Amino acid sequence: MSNTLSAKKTARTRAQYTVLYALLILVAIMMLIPFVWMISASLKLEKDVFAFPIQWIPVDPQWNNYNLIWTKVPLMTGFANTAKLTFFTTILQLLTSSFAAYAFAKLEFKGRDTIFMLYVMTISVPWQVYMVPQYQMMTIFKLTNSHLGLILMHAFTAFGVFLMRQFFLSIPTELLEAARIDGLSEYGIWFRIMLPLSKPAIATLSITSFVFEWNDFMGPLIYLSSTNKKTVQLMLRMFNTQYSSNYAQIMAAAAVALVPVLLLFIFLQRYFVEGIASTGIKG
Amino acid sequence: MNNSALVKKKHKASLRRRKTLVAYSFILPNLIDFFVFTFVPIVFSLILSFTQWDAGNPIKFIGLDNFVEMFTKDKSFRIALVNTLYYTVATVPITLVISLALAILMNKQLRGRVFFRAVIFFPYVASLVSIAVVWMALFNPDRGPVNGILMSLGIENPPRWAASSVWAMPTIIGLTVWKNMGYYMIVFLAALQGVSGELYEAASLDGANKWQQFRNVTWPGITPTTFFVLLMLMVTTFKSYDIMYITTQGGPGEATKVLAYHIFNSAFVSSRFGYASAVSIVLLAIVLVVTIFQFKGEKKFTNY
Amino acid sequence: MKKHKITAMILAATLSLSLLASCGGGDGTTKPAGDEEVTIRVTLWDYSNLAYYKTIFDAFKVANPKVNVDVVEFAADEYDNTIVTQLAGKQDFDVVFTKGTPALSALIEQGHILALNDLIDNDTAFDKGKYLGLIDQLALNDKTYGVPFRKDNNLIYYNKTLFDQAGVAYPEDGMTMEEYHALAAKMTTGEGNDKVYGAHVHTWPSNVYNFARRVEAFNFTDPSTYKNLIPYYEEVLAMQEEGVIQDYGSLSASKIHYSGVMYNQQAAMLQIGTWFTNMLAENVTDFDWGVCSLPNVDGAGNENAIGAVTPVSIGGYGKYNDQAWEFIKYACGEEGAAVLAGAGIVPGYSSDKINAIFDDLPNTKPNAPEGLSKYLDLEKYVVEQPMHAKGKAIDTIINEQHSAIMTKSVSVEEGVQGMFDRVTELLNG
Repeated sequence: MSNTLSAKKTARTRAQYTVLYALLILVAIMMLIPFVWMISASLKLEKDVFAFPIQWIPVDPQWNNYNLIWTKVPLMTGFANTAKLTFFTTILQLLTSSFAAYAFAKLEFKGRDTIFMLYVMTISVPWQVYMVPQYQMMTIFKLTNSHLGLILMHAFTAFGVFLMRQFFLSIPTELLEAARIDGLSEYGIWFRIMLPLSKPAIATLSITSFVFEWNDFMGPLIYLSSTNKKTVQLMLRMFNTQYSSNYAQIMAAAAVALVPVLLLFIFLQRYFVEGIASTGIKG
Repeated sequence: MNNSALVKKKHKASLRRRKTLVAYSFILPNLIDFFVFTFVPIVFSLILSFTQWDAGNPIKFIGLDNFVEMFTKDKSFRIALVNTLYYTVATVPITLVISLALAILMNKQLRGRVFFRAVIFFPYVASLVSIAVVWMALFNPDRGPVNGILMSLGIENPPRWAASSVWAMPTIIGLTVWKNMGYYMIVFLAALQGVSGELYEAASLDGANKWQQFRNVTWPGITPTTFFVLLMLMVTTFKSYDIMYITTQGGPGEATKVLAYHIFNSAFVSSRFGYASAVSIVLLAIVLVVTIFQFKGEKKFTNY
Repeated sequence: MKKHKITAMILAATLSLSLLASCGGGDGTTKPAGDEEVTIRVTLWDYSNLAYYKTIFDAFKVANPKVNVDVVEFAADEYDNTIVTQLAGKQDFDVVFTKGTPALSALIEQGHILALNDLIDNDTAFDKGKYLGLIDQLALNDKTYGVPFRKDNNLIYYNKTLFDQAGVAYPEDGMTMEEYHALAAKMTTGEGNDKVYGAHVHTWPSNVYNFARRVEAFNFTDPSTYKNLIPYYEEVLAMQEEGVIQDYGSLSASKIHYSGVMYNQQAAMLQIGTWFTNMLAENVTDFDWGVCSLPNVDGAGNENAIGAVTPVSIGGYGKYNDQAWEFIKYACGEEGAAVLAGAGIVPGYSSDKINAIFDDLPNTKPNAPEGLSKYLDLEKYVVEQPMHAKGKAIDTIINEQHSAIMTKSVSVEEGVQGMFDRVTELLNG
């Protein structure tokens, strides 16, 4: 009797799984469509990009679009510049955010909540509002048209502090107390306990910072005017002429620009699933 | 004894000072950068809300005139405010629920989850321009595949999506959810990793069903993250305008004009940077109220 | 105590910032000592896409060996916003290209652009008569600020091959809107993917209001003229209803570009600016094309030209105003104009030599029509959007109302009334 019951149960789970997978595959298709469209558009002639009905597999693939984008604008310079900016801002954001987040999450000090509130509030001010005053200030500092200026501006992220703080909050305070009794300094705790325990959070923030900086358009647009300092995203937009946008080439370049982000994501994948449970320390 | 108590007190005080110093040393690198590059320009632009300034001529103080105009004369402001609330109230819960559900699913020992995770995350990493272009092509009112399917299902007059003042906002909401849910799924996934497996085992031994497990184990474990996601979703949807800028330009008419779009227009189209700042103060005030409310809630629901 | 300190710091910082923002900048003219080489900074968009810029700039350098040109290029889509921010930061741009009259008006109002009156009055080598009165039309508050680098007329471009196949007579100057509609209906054939539309109306408001603007029935700075748009909107919407033109909503949702529609012979006629001459000449070999003047309700002929202008100005914080003026005279003069005309682009400068280049086009591009200069060098040039301090804001309102009308979110009367109400309020406020 118990046998038939478990058989019934497995039949039910099997049915459940079938429905689940059907759903997941549907979601996956929905999510992949832009990618497929992008690749397919990048292989078309400009006039066919918006042809209807959508032609998913181009009859006469224009591989040359991928060659052209490298010759029209100095894309390689763009990649190098973006890589530089992204590398430094991501590293700096990780450091400053996790450092500050530790204090906000686990240390008691005067003004903690006020400062934190200020941080969070700044996230809600649209950049368009303070873009011009900020630019004027950066002019005074002589930090316009320089990578350093952009890096300094982006080294701090209220969003990152907030994200890290929330993860640190879920790490049990008893763990820290034990470490303090063992004579570990606060810096030691940050480095030896908090960071190793929050790998998923670090991975999340890395991808956030990376994607933001890699895709950032308005920042470099306003702050970088010399061609040899411009980023990939700026170069991508240079394909747009006033009276016609070359979408085929824009998409080819966008597809190329996407590769590094995807690689990073695949590399970071395992950290998203490696948390407290797998490091063996339990709360 | 009195003396030793005093010494103790002094010692305690110096200990506290030391603690505060250590704490400040943690936030200082961030704080300085924040103060110089973000906070000062923001405060400056907030002061601008009491002025008339066109980013060229000298600043002129005009008191509360901007606010008076906003609430008594500016019809576009009212439309944008309503649209912003509509956009936020729809986008936030939908994104939250879908991304949490996906995260719970992806946290299971599913075959192919690495693939699904990457795929769902995909729209987030792709640039907004390419994403928006595809979305609009799919939802083209006359020749898009979505309406093609609807018509083959026998719906004679399918919605005209972005080309209809009624459906334009839902179309944009769909695009927003689609683009961002993968990201918040990852955030939730990272939080779910923090929930100890032992707790589930214990709950399971106690005979808790799936819902009870979620309610009593998963949910309390991820509340800080849920607060984070909720607040970030609120703030980012409140201030987003780039999606409308790329797809509908706020139209048809003013159907998808949100506050941030109005701010952008006031500043860069009308050259009224003071007025734009005033509108953003209203935005800030709304966010502030919601944030305080949420922080109160966070303190209540989490035990740390 | 600490709080006070922080507040004080913030106040001090913002005060100093606002002081620095409101003054500063310097007097702008540094005369180079003797015969030193100088480098002028020129801002524009699309420099890397359009070869003619480089040709003109290189030629300028040959003619003026002491002046180097440093090109600062910004992305076309965000050019206006970027330039505003840069100039608010007092960037020392000597020459500033602007995308049109509304953008230029805004920069002038902000005090970022120098008036050219003194330079023009003291320079006998500069003949403003060569610009069809445009120098005076680029004035705001009684001063003039720009020289037209390019100007465009708006025309009906039609596919001769399609008309020949259908055995229908070509469109002509002086059509009424009804005649245009009837002609488009006659030229509409086929179904589904093979459908050829009689005409194509692109998504810009100017694709409707230019019909009225050419005969000066409409002026976007004067709301009392807006009611004259009603018959034009009704005609265009009727065409849309009958399937003689593609639907606005569909075009704008997919950002369908008019060029593809014409290249693929999916429409017989298109109302667009004369830059399309260059695009057709470079991209089309498999059909012949022609042009005629825009229709309007009364059937007025090819008397006025109507279009947008690309002005070039002197930046307010540049170092070398004299050299900047030399550059503008060159790029917008006969030398620059000849390069543009050779590429099929209409320069701001008009002369017999430039006309001859356009009339010669059929010899290099066999499918181009004869006698193009007839449509380029007209007595009167009507600027699509006259200079106005609030031009950009008016433009945005008209855009929004246009999308509401074209998607039938409101009736034509309501939409035009909304345009009137909103712009009136803007101008009074």
